[in-house]
Amino acid sequence: MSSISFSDGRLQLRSPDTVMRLERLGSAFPTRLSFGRSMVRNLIADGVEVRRTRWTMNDQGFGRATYTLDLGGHTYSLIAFSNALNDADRSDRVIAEAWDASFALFDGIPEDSDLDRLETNLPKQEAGRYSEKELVISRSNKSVRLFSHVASALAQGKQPDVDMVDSIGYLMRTTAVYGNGKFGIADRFVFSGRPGLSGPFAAEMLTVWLIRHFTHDLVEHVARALGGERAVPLDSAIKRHLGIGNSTGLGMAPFLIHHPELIHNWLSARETAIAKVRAIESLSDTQQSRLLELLERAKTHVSQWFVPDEIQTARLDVLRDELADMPAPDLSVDYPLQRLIDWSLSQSVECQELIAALCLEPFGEMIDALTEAMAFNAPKAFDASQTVSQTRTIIGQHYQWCETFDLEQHESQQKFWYVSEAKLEPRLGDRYAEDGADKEQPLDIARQVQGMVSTLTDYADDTPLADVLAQHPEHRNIAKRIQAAADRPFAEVRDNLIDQSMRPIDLLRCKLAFFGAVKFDPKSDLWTRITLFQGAPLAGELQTLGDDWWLATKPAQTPL
Amino acid sequence: MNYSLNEVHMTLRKALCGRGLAFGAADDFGAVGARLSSGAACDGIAAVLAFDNSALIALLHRVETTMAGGSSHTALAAGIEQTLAAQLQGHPFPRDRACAISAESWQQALVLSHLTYVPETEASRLGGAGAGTNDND
Repeated sequence: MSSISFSDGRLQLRSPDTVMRLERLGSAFPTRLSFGRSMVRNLIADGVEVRRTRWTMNDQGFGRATYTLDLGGHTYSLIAFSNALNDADRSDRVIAEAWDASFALFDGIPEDSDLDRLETNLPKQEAGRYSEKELVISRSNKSVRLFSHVASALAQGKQPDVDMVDSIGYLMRTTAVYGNGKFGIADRFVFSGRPGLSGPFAAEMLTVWLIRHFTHDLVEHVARALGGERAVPLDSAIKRHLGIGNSTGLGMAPFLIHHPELIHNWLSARETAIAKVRAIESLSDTQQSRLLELLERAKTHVSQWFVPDEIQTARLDVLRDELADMPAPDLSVDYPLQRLIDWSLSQSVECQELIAALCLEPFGEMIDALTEAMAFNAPKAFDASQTVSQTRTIIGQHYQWCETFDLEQHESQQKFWYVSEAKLEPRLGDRYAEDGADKEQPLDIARQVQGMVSTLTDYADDTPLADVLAQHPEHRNIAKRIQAAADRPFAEVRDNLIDQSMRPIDLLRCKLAFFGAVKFDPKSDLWTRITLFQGAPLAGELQTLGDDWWLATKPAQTPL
Repeated sequence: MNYSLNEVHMTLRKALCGRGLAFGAADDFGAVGARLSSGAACDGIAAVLAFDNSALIALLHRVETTMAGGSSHTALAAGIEQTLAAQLQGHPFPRDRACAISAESWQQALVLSHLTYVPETEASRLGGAGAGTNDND
């Protein structure tokens, strides 16, 4: 690899024009800055122990359970209700009305009366009503195939087939995880200042990690009921490989677009981390060995990632070939990570993003503190005294990409984002074939910027925005975004989000990678399944295993 | 009944959009409604919905022009004007559950919010979110 040239600018962040394109966002991999990783580090640092405080389940695994832990000086509990569900009602979509299990992350230790209250609400999810004591609510459906297989195998005294465990990856998948005040639960500000829960989606990550723990207990409980004394517990390596699934649809996309300041913080932290490791002049022998070990792990992980989706399969085939053909990196040279990253620039975008994530992994001491800047808790402000001229300057600096789209073309604005009256499910429509474009959600950022630019031509340079917006309130949304982006270069996805060719799955993968998701399993351009916390330490392993579970690989089959 | 401040903000934003107010302004007044509603003193939804859309746009202009002129908050009327100024300047405020929202104003907000939703059709249900409707795998 020493013959490979490398670029200048060792301390430069990648350009937002490169980073914020859909294709690249849709090729994102989890990193050690991902929120699931941060949460596990928080649990380790605080010496968290999980206590199962209630377990009232019948032989079929239906009933209630609670788990309690202390984190950052506060006590939290996961409340779980497991219910019988007809196969006909098992749907991953928002429009579903019943689930195999429902959950709440409770602030403190719940009384029986809290469980009674929640048992009449949580199984109804969006149709229920909640209190400030509930920090997060969620629900999940079983992977019927894997849950049945694991329970049956354990009941017979055997371990499950690890290939099946690996190919599915979870016993249950969540189909929504609600936070920040939804349906009356606690506003995020209630806990955003608490140690351990201050990061983005930290409470949601804690909830999901505990749900994973519950699914492990549940399948072992059912196996014991089936097999009696013959039943065995799950092998810990297999159990660790059983993450928690998630089925994600279009709802994540509007969230990303509606929170430009937050998204900037996420991308800025990651890009800063990449720039920092690129600038490392030399690596110790230990660091070199660690990086090579992680590279092999990544290759194995990718070799075990198979999905039915043709587009993702083709991308993975290319990635596997690229990694197989990759020259053995010489990490003893100067600026070894810069050379490695520069090598990746001639490979696919998937490969580039994988290599960037790899390069971050060994350098926690250098970059983990960046996670402290990934939340956005500051109140938003808007200065309408800003002039037309100042606004034009910001547009010139940060929104040039909007001018590249010819919105006169039908295809360039063919799609529209909307909310269905059916359980408020977010959807994407065809402007020319479906009704509802009059209720379009404002995710058409490029079109809004072009509209604003056109309107500003009618105003003198020194006109304050307040005067423009009084006459054109339709531009107020984009005016606020433009102002917020002035010092946040990663605030905007630099693509046309209403173009006929736009794939929402790219937005979903970006957000899910920041959560820490692996094994992206797209079911269409519009929704995907993923696995969280695969390989993460189990509740009893936090202190012994630590935070070394990036891109987990399939465990060996336990001898029967 | 009490409410989280975020659901007040989001519900009022949707209600104002449903009433035809532009999204950017609806978001500002959704936040204002949440600020006014914090605690037990004020029904912020009713306070905002009492103004029609034109009046809200005029209110924005008056407050923003006053602030740009360097006038202090005392130049603004107590209540919604000063709250709007605080919102636009990003001033922190004591945050607590919204306990004074009447059932009538919440219902009014829900009815207006409904105007932002696209009616369900078979084509929308099957195609709009992509997924199938049964996941027994």
